[in-house]
Amino acid sequence: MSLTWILIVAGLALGTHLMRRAGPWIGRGGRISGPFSQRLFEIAPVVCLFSLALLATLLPESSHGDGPSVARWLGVALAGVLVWRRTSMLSVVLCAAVATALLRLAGLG
Amino acid sequence: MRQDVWPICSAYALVGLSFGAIASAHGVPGWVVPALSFLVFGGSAQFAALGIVMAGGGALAAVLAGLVINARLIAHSLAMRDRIGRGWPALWRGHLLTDVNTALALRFDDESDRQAIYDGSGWRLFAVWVISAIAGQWLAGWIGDTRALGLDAVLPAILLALIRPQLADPVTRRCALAGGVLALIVWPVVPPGVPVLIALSGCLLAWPTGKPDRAARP
Repeated sequence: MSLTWILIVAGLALGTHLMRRAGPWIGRGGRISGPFSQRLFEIAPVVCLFSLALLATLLPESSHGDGPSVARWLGVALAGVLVWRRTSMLSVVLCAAVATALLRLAGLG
Repeated sequence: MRQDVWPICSAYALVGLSFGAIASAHGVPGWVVPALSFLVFGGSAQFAALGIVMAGGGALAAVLAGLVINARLIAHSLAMRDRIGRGWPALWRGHLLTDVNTALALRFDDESDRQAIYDGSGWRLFAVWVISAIAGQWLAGWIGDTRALGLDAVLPAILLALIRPQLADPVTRRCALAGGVLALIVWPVVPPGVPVLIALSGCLLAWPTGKPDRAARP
């Protein structure tokens, strides 16, 4: 667990810093060419984060060892509706947590 | 500048608090939250790494996913290359690069205004991010049973909120849906952490077709 995290922190820190510093090194006149590669820069993170959101919602949590949580499914579904309606981040976070907590209190697990 | 930066800072604080609390609730070693927040300073990438490790994935998958998410910083870095510069100041000026201060700096025409807003919003966001993540970690230790409080629903909720602006574009939406469904199909049969990387093939739906792309750029 600890070694995994050492590798993650080192890899992400180094890689991200190099990306942040890339601009001045690529220099003047440098730009990302081609419409598809430009789109990839925008789309790839969204695809990655969306699939992660789905997995984090629907999969049982390995660290708890219990089954899938219906309360969490419903809590995140509510959050999804609020996000779609462009509700503020604070309301989204609070509603997701409170709804999930209440459903659990009602015995949904 | 103040009126623009502080609302964004409060959003950062909320996401940072959640990151620290969720990481801590899942038994991530104590030094990881401050180290990631200080050295990586990228909310989406940090959450992605955390999500992959929580799902049982390894370091390679977590780093790859995080770097894919942060790759957009190369484009920002090109736009901000005169703000970052070279030499020693570039060490911290480069580190302060985010979506937010890039967007704010581009609003001004004057070079010195641009530099001031880039640096000023950059270090404020950085300070807020690191402090709130540590505070979240401390808070989780204080409240104990985070599952009873529904904190496990907060991670996906924040991920959805973070990508909401880009989901307005129909092509991006289609790619995300395809990738997400693909990840759910493959997760029982591939090692943990890999489904997110396989999901990236959903991007192929953005391959330019003969038809003109009506999607509005943000």
